[in-house]
Parts: sequence; C-alpha cells; structure tokens
Amino acid sequence: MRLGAGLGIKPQHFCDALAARDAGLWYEVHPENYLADGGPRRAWLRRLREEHPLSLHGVSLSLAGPDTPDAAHLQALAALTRELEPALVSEHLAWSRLNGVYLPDLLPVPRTRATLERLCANIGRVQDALGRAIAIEHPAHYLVLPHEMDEAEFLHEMVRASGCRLLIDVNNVYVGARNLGYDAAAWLDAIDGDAVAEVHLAGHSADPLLGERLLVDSHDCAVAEPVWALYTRLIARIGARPTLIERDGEVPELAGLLAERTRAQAVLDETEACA
Amino acid sequence: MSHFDYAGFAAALCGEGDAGGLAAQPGFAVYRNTVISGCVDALIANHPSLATLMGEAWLANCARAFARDNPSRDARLMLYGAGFAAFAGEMPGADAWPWLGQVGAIDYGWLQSHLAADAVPAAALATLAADMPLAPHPAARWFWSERWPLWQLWSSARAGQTPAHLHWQGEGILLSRPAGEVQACVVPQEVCVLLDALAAGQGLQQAVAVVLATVAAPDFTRLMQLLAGAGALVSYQE
Repeated sequence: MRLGAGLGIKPQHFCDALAARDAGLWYEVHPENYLADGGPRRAWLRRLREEHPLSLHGVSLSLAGPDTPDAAHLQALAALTRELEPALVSEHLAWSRLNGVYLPDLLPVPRTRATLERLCANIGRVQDALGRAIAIEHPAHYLVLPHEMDEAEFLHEMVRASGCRLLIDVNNVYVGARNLGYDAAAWLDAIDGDAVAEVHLAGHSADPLLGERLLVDSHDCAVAEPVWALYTRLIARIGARPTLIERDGEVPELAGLLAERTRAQAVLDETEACA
Repeated sequence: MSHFDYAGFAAALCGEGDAGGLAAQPGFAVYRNTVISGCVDALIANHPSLATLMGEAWLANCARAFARDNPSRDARLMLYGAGFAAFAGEMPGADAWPWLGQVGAIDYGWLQSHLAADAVPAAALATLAADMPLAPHPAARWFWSERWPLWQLWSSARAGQTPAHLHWQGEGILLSRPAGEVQACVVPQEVCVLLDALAAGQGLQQAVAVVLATVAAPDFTRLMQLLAGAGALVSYQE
C-alpha cells in the first residue's frame, strides 16, 4: 500500500482510527509511549498495525547530543521495530539527554562540523541497531546560534555521510523563518527532493508574551494557510511524499483531523495526477 | 564555536547561568517552558488521584519541586515519578492528609501494572495445601494499610470524586490485568501478606504460614477466589 497522508494518533482515537479506511491513510506514534514490557498499549499498537501502515517517530534519542543514544532505550526501540515492521522510522536533529538525565524537549545545537560528526555517528548507531535507514527531522528555530554551516548544506552533508533520509517539517520551516527572519520558500527550495522521505504538517501559535514576534511549534491547532501554501509548493517540486498531520494539544475528534488529512491527500493526489 | 556548551545550556534551562548569552534571547523561554512543563505534566498525568484530591495547581507546584531534584533518567515519561507520591505526602499542605503518599503510590502502581509484561495467569487454585510453584503476576500490584481506607480513598479519587462518607478502617487494594486492562479490587490483609511472601521468593506453603502468623482469622477461601479472579498469580513451572 502506498503511503499517502497520515495522522499522528492519540489514544482517545484508537477505536475510530482502527476502523478508518481512507485511501493512503497511515498512522504515526511516538515509540516512547509504547516501550512497555507488555500490556494494553503494546497490544493495541499491534492491532493497529494489522490494519494500517505505521510510522515510529522518536523524540528522545538525543542524536545531536554529546552522548551516544541510551543503550537500553535503543535496544527496546529495535525490538519494537522488529515487532511492528513500520513503514517509516524517524527521529530529530536535536538533543535531550545529558549525563544520564532526560530533558523532555528537542534542544538546539549550532550547525558545526563537530556537531555533524557526532550526529552522523549517532545516526549510524541507530541505523545499525534497527537494521534500516531512518529519517531525520530538522528543528524549528527559536534562537540565533553560532552556526558554521548553512542549514541545507548541513542536512545534505548529514544525509550523505550517514545514509539517512530527511523528514521535512514545513511548519518548522515556517516558524523558524518567521522567528529568525529568513525566507521559508527559499529554504525549502534548497532541499534536495531525492533525500526527502516524509513531510510533516502541524499548527503553530504565537507566544503568549511576545505575540507574533515569536511563533511556537505548538501542534495545538490546525495547519496554518501559509504552511499549506509552502507544502503545496514543495510537493509540486519534489513529488508526492508520505505526509503527516501532527496534533498534540487541543486534540479534536478524529473526524476533524481526518478532514485536515484529506486536504493533504488531495495535494498528493493532484501532484500524482499531473506527473 | 566548535564545542557547544551542553551543560551550560541545560543549567540555564533550570535558571542557572545564561548559556553564554543564549538565555537572554526571547526564544530561550520556549525551551525552558517546554522542559519544565514536560516534567510537570507527566507527573500530574501519572498521578490522577493526587490531582483530584489536592487540585492541579497544588500538584503542579509539588511536581516542579520534585522535578528539580529528581529529573527523569528515562525518556519514557509514562513511567516518570517513582517516589513522587511520597514526596507529595511530605509537602506543606499535605499534613492534613496523612494517607496522601500511600494513595499516590497506588497511582504509580497502576502505571506499573498497565505497562508490565504479559503472562498467562495461573489456573484457579483448588487448594493451598500443595507446594505449588507460584509467584505474583508481573502486572499484580498490591497495597495494604492498617489505618487508612486505601480502597475508598483511591477509587473515588481515581473516578474524579472527592472521597466522602468514608468508613475509616484499614483496607487493601489489588491491581491486576486479568482481561487486558488494569482492574482494581478491594482485598483483605491476607491477600497482601500472601503476595508479599510469594514476591519474596517463598513457596506457597511458607507463604500460607506467614499469613497464619500475621493475620487473625484469615479467610483462605475468599483469598483463593480473589487471587484467581484477579489473575494475580503465575505458575513459574507451567
């Protein structure tokens, strides 16, 4: 089955999600929420996998951190990957672990040669453990950091050196461009389409204190129109790619998310029809 | 900058230092807020009965204090908070609720039961006389208090209700997964004593002897029914 537009799945939607039969539909989960020894969560995920393609989108391997990925966590992720045989596996270009402590966020790093070397080594460790290539999602930007490399150059070098793919989050691009003052369309145009394995779409919100001067990748509302425009432009250039609607806060009924997902599927269908 | 100061960045997330000036940028607050709220939200979500009993604002203050000294070492925040219930029970404002830590510990036990390994429960016990190779099921968790009505307190708070019309007596709770999802039932002391003994590696006959030495007039018929119905035991030689 060819992957079209998918949804980040929430426990409250499990039953409806299982029954949904939209063409091209797939689901994405954070594996951290399912790395249990047993029990109903894991059983439900197995059941979902019987009906739909799955993607495992990790948030905690800390690939850009100073340490190697937590060995026990990686072993558990490898076991889950073997069990579910997901269509996609992805992680973030970020760090979240230091001296054994887990910091629950996707923290930033400067794009330096040293960062790139550590990152690629860690991606290699994960790919070796999982026995497959993974996709890496670039971050949303909130800080001016002392970067040495342009972002597209950094990402392409990461793909070349590690053998990973790219997960392009169009909302991250939009948020970062607005916060730091660069051109989101030009950023996307600079990305090698052949390297892109997956695309993410999500909503953002204005910072409660700073308003529109600081956008936050909040995942708590619908995808914004400028992000849809960027997405349509990206897909028209690189062709159809598995596309995910992410929603982590203020989660509506599944029908509302499926409607958003249908819009992404229409973009993919139109591109394929033109190809 | 070839070497990013990870430690300085992490310290600034906790309000210590300025991460080489990065903390002065408005966007730094996004990371600080996300890290703190990630810990606090997980602790509250993992202890719903404490949230009912004490309110989310009180519990959030408690969670911030706990997270400062007890950061998660596991990325699985669904298991974050071992020891949080006892910590909450020692917080200012909790002294009027001397059972708070014990009730919160049942929330954490529920998580452990929910995420524990699968195993086939032992068949119904026909007798306690044989030296059967039994152990608590991986998903079994049990709690007993001589003084406090743990079942009444926890089950009502878990349902989102402030406990009312309590019958103040010692009570026990058994959590297990006989049919996939976690189930809770009220149990007498002898159930908890027997499970304690089996968990410590004692054989069934020894465990029964411990019950007889600890509990006045234990009801073994009811004990057997409760354990079998809850699927709380496994036979480790089956």
